[in-house]
Amino acid sequence: MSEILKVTHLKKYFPVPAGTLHAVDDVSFSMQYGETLGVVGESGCGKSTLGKTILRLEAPTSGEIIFEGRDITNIDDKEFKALRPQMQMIFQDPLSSLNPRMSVSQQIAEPLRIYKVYKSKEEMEKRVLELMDIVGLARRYVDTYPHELDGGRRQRIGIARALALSPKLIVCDEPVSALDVLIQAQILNLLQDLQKEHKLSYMFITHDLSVVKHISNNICVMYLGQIIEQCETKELFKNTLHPYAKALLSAIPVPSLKHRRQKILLKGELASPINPKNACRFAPRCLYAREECFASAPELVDVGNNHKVACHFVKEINGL
Amino acid sequence: MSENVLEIKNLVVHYETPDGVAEAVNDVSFTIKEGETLGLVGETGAGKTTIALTIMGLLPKPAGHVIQGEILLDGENIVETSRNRLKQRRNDRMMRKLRGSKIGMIFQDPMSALNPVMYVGDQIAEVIRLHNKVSKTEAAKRAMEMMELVGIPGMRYKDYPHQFSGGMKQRIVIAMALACNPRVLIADEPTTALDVTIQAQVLELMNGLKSKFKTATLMITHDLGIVAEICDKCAVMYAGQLVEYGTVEHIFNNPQHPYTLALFAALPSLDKDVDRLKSISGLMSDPMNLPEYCSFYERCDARCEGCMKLDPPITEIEPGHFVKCIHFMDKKQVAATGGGSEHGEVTV
Amino acid sequence: MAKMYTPAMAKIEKKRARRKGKTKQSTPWREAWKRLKRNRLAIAGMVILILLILVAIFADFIAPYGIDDQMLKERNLPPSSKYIMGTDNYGRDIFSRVVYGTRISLPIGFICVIIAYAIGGTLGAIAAYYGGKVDNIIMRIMDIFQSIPPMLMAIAIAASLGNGVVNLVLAISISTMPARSRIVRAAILTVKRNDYIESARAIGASSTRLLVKYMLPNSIGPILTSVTFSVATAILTISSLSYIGLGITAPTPEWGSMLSAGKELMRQAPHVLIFPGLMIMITVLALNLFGDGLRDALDPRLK
Repeated sequence: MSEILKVTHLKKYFPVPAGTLHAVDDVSFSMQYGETLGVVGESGCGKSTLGKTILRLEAPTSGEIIFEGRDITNIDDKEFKALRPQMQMIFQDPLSSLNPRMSVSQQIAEPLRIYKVYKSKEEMEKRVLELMDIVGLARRYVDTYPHELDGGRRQRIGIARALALSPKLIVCDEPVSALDVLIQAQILNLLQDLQKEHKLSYMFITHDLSVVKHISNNICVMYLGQIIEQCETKELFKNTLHPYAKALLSAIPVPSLKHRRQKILLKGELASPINPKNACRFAPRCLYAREECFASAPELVDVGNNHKVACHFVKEINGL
Repeated sequence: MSENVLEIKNLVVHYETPDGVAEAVNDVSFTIKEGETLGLVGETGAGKTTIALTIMGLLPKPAGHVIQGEILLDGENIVETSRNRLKQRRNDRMMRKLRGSKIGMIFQDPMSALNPVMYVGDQIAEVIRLHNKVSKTEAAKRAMEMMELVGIPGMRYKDYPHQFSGGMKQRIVIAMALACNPRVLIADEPTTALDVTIQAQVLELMNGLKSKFKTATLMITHDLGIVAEICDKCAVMYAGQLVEYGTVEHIFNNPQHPYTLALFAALPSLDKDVDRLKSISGLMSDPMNLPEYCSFYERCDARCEGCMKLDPPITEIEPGHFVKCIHFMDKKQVAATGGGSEHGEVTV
Repeated sequence: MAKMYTPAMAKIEKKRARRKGKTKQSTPWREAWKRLKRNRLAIAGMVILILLILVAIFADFIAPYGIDDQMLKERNLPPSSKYIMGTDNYGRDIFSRVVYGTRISLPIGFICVIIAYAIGGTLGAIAAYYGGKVDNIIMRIMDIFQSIPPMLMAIAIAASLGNGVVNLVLAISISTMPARSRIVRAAILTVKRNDYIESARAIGASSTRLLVKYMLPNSIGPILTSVTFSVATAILTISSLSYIGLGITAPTPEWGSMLSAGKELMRQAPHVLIFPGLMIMITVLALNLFGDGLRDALDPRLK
């Protein structure tokens, strides 16, 4: 069995005063062991909710989540407690995702304490120092508090804590978005090194296409709760098919005067994810939208080379 | 001379706290002409926001002090280095008149500029009336014109900020900033909090307005991509100093300072594929503990023994392109330092 | 080392050298304490409170006379070297009575607050943590209690149960409990939405662990601050109740009942009123100053 995670028709809806918010709407994908799956999209596309639902921090509304061959969609908390160490999360803002009243060593030791991994205090402390070494956090910070450290070091604490129970899958929710360029590079390199050494699989959630290109093997591009394009990373950048993905790619400011990209400017704003109609959710902003786009929702279809796109006119737009 | 709308000369700003003095800005000089956009780039803690606050006269008191230097707005100095309370108060009064009228500001979080309980149209009109003697109706008319200019339908005049998305809120803030046709626009990370596609829209808008209003713009950002998009000049800051300064052609086609090079090397590129990103170890220097020699020494790839002997001067390595590094000192500068460094020939 | 050495730097360095850097752990508590120390008014309040507590402890050594010693020949005497605060209508030394009064108002005030927070606070924490129906039920019950003004409820309870310290404590605790539960609930709700709660759940923390190790330590700030203000309110309530003859009655030297006893002598012997009144005022003021300083010191936004 080479699939570590298989998600089928996953939906997560939230009841809100105005109706039902379709945060994650019929998402399916699978991940292999040792793979990095990039989940890309802008705010409101549901990528964070997807990550949290897979880790069962939110209860799925419907669909299936199969982790290492086991269906974890609806298992109760007691059963899941044993599995939880296998799937961990790294959060975006290292300042707000760490308890301000716990020192570095206390934070890293938390998972070890909760699962009573070590019988003696010395063994636990040894493991904490080991973890600090692994993530490149100098041992002298053992008793410092998050507010005394910079963003990069705080993120290392989060990574050390996620690694403490030797997980197999780590969901990284925008782990470098809040960091400066040089620190971002350090952390990305660290994540890559850890993946090789500890045979980890990553679900890398971000809005930054250049980061995801660098670090992921496969990509899902999300828009308003749905996957609109899904393929190998190299393929996405060589051959972007969906109009939204094209616009997203073209919108990234390139730090170079030579490679100027023609910008595709989208008109209008994001539609509401509350009570969406049965239509293409990107249609209101799409330059190629036609009548059919407003009448029915496009399916995610394989157009060859395992490249899936959800667009009625993908062939016409791209001359396929 | 009169072409330079904004001229910063040898600015030094310190924050004095009981825990120590943070040297936030250390001898910074640059100029912005009419219609020009200068991109001020640097990581967190480099001092970019401090410079913005100093220009606007909004340095946090009592800690912030301008120790030396001048900021000339159309030739007139607007900073007060003396600690005399009367002079300070006079300077505050003057700055209050300038903010909004001669100096426009855009911050990262649009909600920090928008009043949640006031019509957005009225907020723009308020800025107009504060600095111009016009009637309410005239101000409202101008406000509606500004709204259309930034791409918001005038009929939304009586809407509240919460009814707009992030990108549209930022457009309203831009309208407020440009309402009185200021000479200088200070934009501190205006698109950092926005989605990429919305950011593209807003940057496009700012580019368009640039040619219409001819405002001298100081664009503060950590994103070199944005600098390439809309800036004419670029200044790279590290630990309160300008380490490299020139036109965007200079910076992007011929970057020289080791820090600038490190910034470029650390960016994951959309065009090429690399195995590992190049990064440098260490952190931004602590402004409370800056060395007398080169601040970048600890983290520099190209450092040598001579680097610890002095704080390097700024050298013009080609017309309009300045670098602050010992390895670029010209003959005159080497002689002035007593020939203390073995390096120092200009490499252009 | 610095890029540009200024006179201000020299001044600050001198001050720091005097303090001599003891590199202790910089916990959030220590940072808060540092901020509190810089607030002179708060320190003044704290010092006064410490003095009052010391007076209560060492009352036997400080008071020259007993609380019941009646020097009937020396009634209503103004302050003198023999009787620092004068004597009251029964010839008792006011100073001694005021000193012993600290043993009443302060401890009872604290106990009332502790009980109100223990019960009300727990209810508020449970309501905040579980939310939904549990929250609704608990808070609606609190609403019912809160619809009656605390003072009136305290009067009603004290009047129906009779006088005495126990009944007084009950009256004040019950009448203030709803408001305390709300404060704790609000504090926990603010903390609940933080990312670190979710990240703790991701590593498998149980509800109890979340509440005890994550939510409480981070919400203790606003709770602690309101505790100080509540003690001030409790002391005022105690005094008010005994002023109108409920709760603690004469001859116990409670400041409020001393005020009541002295109200007839306002013209002839104002000192009988002034000194107990001053004590109430100073105690409440000290608590408020300290509470204000505590709130500023613990405010996480100042980090």
